[in-house]
Amino acid sequence: MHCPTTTGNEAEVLVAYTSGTMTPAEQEAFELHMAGCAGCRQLAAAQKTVWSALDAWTLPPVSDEFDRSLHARIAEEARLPWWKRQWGGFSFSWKPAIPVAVACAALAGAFLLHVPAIDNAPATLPAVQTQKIDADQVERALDDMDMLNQLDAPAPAPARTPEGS
Amino acid sequence: MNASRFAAALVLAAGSLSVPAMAQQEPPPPPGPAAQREWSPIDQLERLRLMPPWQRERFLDRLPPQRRAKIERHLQDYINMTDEQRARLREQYEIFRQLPPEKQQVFRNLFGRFMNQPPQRQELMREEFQRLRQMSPAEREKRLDSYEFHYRFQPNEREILGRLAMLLP
Amino acid sequence: MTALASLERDAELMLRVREGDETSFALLLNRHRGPVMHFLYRMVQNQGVAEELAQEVFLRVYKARASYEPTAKFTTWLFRIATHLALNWLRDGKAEKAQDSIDDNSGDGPTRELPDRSGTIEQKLVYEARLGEIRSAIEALPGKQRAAVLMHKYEEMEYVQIAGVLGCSESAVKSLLFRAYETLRARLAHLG
Repeated sequence: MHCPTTTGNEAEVLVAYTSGTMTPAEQEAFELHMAGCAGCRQLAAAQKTVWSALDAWTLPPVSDEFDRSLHARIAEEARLPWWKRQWGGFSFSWKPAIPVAVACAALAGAFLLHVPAIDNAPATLPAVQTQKIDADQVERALDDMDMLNQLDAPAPAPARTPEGS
Repeated sequence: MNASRFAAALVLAAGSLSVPAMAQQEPPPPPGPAAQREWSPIDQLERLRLMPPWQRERFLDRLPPQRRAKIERHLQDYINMTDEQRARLREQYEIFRQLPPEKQQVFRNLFGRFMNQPPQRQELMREEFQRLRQMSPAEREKRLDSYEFHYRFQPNEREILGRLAMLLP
Repeated sequence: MTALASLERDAELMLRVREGDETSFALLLNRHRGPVMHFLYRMVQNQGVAEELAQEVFLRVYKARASYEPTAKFTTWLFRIATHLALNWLRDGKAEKAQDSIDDNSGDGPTRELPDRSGTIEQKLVYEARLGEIRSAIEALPGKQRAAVLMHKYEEMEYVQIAGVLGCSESAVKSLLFRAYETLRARLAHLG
C-alpha cells in the first residue's frame, strides 16, 4: 500500500480507518502499512483519540416536555389567520426571495401580454382527514394484550401479618 | 388595466406560496415509496399511544360510552407501561397472533375459565403457565404427565393448563 | 428494522402526514426528535436554544407537509432545516455576543451532558475537564465544518448525504471534514 501521506488522501484513509468504514481487506492493508510507517501510526493514534473523545460526549434523552410544547406551538399556529401563517413566524434569508421576485416579474410581464381566462374561485387546501383507526381491531388487540398480561403478571407480594399475631 | 393588476397579484401570491417549499429544493427524485401497506393492530395501537391527547379524545369520542370506558382504561394501562413492558407484551401478542383464529378463540375461552377460578388458585395456575411457557414441547409434555403436576392441580385446572400449554409454540 | 426499510418508512409516513394523518407525524417525531435535538445541542451548545430550534425544525416540517415530495431522504431534508437554523443562530449569536459586556459571566445556559454518577470526585473533575475541552474544540470549528463533523460522527451520515444537507459537492464535504478533524486532532490529541 502506498503511504496515504504521499498520495494526498491521508485524511480520507484516517477517517475511514477510525470510523470503522474500511473493508476488512482495506483495514488489513492499512494496518500492515502502519507497522512500518511511524507518521501514519501517529496520525491514526491522534485520530483515534479524537474519535474516542467525541464518543465520550453523550447526551441524555429529550425531555417529555418537548412534544407538549411542540404540539402547543402547532395548535397556536393553526389558530393564526391564513395571511399570518403564510408570512409570519418564518425567518429566512432574503437571498432566495430575489430570484423568486425576478420570476414573478417575468410571469407578470407574460400575463400582461396575454391574459388567460381566470377562474375566480380561491384556491383551497384539501380538507384535513384523520386516518381512520379501526376501533374493533384496537379493542380486540387491547383485550388480548390484557389477557396475556394477566397471565404474565408477577405474583403479588404476600400479605404482611401484624407483629405479635 | 384591471386584468393585468389581477394577474400580477396572482403571480405574487403564487410566489409567496412557493416560499415554504424552498426548504425542499432538491435534485431529481429517486423512485417514490411502495404502495401503502395495511396497519397491523399493534401499529394502530402505537399510533393511538403516540397521538396528541386531544386527537386520542377525538377517536374515543366516536365510541359508545361503555365501550369507550373499557378501551380508554386498557389504553391508559398500555400507555403507562415502561418501554420494556410494552416491548415484551407486543412480542407476546405477536406470538399469539400467529395462532390460527380458531385457536386464538380457544385460548380466550380457556382464559375466561382461568379467570373464574378463585384468586389463590389463579396465582398457582399463573406460575405454572409461566413455567410451562419457558419449556420446550417435550419438557412440557413431561411436566404435564408428572406426579407433582397432578398433585398440585385439580382436574379442571389441569385441563385448562394442559390445553393452554398445547397452544403454545 | 433495516436502515433501508426505515428510510422507506420515513417517506411513507411523511406522505401520510401530507394526506392529513397526524399520528404519522407523531411517529416521525418519535423517531427523529432525539437525533435532531442532540445535533442542535452540539451545534449551539445551549439547551434552551437547541430545544427551541428543534421545535422549529419539526414545526417547519409540519407546515410544509402539504407540498412534501419524497425527492430525497427524509433525514436529508430534516437535517438541512436543522443545519440552516443552527447556522443562522450561530451567525446572529456571534453578532450579539460581540456587543455583550466582557464582564457578563452568564454563560451559555445550563449544560445537559449525562452526569458521571460513578467514580471519585477527582475522576468526575477529570471527566468534566475533558468534556469542557471537547466542547471548546467543537465550538472553535466554523459552522459548516462543525455541522459536517457532527453529522459524520454522531449521525453516521455518508459524505453524499452530508453534501445533500449542506448543499455542496461530496468533495467539498470531504474538504470540510478533513480540515475539521485536523483541527480537532491538534486540540484533542493530548487527551489520548
